[in-house]
Amino acid sequence: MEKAVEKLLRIAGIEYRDVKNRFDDSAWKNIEILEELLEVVEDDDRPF
Amino acid sequence: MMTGHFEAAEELSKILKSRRFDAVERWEKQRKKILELNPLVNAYITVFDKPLCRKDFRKRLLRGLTVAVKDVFHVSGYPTTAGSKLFANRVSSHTAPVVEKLLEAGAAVNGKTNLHEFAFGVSNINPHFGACKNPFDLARVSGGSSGGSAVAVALGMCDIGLGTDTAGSVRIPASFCGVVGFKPSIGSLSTEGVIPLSWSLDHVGTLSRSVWETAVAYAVMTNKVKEISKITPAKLERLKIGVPINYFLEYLSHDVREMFEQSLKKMEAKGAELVDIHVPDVEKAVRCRTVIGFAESSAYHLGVCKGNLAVYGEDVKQRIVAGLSITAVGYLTALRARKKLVAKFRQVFNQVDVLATPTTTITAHRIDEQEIDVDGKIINVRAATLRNTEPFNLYGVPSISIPMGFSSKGLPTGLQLVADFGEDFKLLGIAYGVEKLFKTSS
Repeated sequence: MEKAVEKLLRIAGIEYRDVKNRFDDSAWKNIEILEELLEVVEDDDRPF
Repeated sequence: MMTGHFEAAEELSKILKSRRFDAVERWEKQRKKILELNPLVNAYITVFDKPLCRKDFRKRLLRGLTVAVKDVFHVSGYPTTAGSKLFANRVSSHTAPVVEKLLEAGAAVNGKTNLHEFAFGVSNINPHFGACKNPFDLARVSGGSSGGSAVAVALGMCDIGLGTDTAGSVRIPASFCGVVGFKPSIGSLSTEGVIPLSWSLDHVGTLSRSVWETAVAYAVMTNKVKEISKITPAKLERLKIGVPINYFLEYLSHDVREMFEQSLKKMEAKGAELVDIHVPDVEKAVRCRTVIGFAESSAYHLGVCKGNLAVYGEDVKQRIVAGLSITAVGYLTALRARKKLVAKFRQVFNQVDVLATPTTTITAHRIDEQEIDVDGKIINVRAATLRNTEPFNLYGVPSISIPMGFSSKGLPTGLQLVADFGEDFKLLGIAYGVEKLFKTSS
């Protein structure tokens, strides 16, 4: 996983080690938001 | 404070009706002002040598009234920097349709205005073109990201400002700089020819010195010129104004709370009915907007930066990094949740005509401030600035900020009014009525 993130950030021209804290914190927060928003969509099977 | 430089909110209707109106004379007066004040406030990135207009502008509706355009709108033959070093040397080959519509109606574009880099921030502290400064206190921010257009309007460097609003970028600088800022219903003004921040949240909006001027510009850009004669101040008697009991009135600074309460009292005294409203799931809407906005911004910038994200300002770079951490599943879930959140939110308009909130929870903060003390609570200035505006970008409903008075430090505060989707002219009429009330009771 770490190698994939390194590659993604290199496309943008930056090194993962330079932004590791921000990236990792955001990724964690985004999973928490996903969990919350899954409750909003519930079992609705329609697309966006 | 730049005393003596502010332009009064004279109704352009009087100017347009006047036989003696001389557009060229007005351009020269405005240009003189730009040359004198722009080095102090950084409102413009590019000042046109001569305003861009149609040859027969004098025969058209707007008769050469000037428009300052946020530097994300393409104007053919001129640079469009988006406030970025990356785009500093790009010259546009086409003109955004909304700008074309204003030119067709006889407006004259006099320059491109400063913004938060790539419109991705609300302070308008731009590392490449300088911080756009608040004309009421040069040590404070203009607010952003359309800060240059707001300052240009406030100081009379132009008549109308064009901006974009993805989380509050028109309404926030309007509130901080004491002008009117209008974000219409999503999609009612084309975003074609505008450098994007977030494709599904971007709104084109206007800044002006009065609601009437806003309505005229909006009517022109939506091909509804016939509506102009119908724009009158709405009567406030029996108008149902929803006052949120959750989220929006938390974390208000003392001055903003006081001005808001006074504004509500004035509207109530005029016959409006104040209705307590619980706005459902606002916190979820805010997080949903953040996911969609950051994911779309990062998708755009990963392509456009071509491996040069390092040249971006630190704050914008960090936001793009945050967006890159959003998964496809997270983004798609947010888009699906958005539909549900919007449908639930719009039910509030079964009970009220409009919602009223302070536009921003604080007045303009100092350029060097990262956090602010609000009644003993330490709050990040970005969070405090966009808290009350960003939900309405997710909902896509029309919202307007009008001046509601000054803080004890002499800084402007703004009242935000919000209507249901598609009720843009109804909202403008109500805002016109409230503006008239505030002017007569101040």
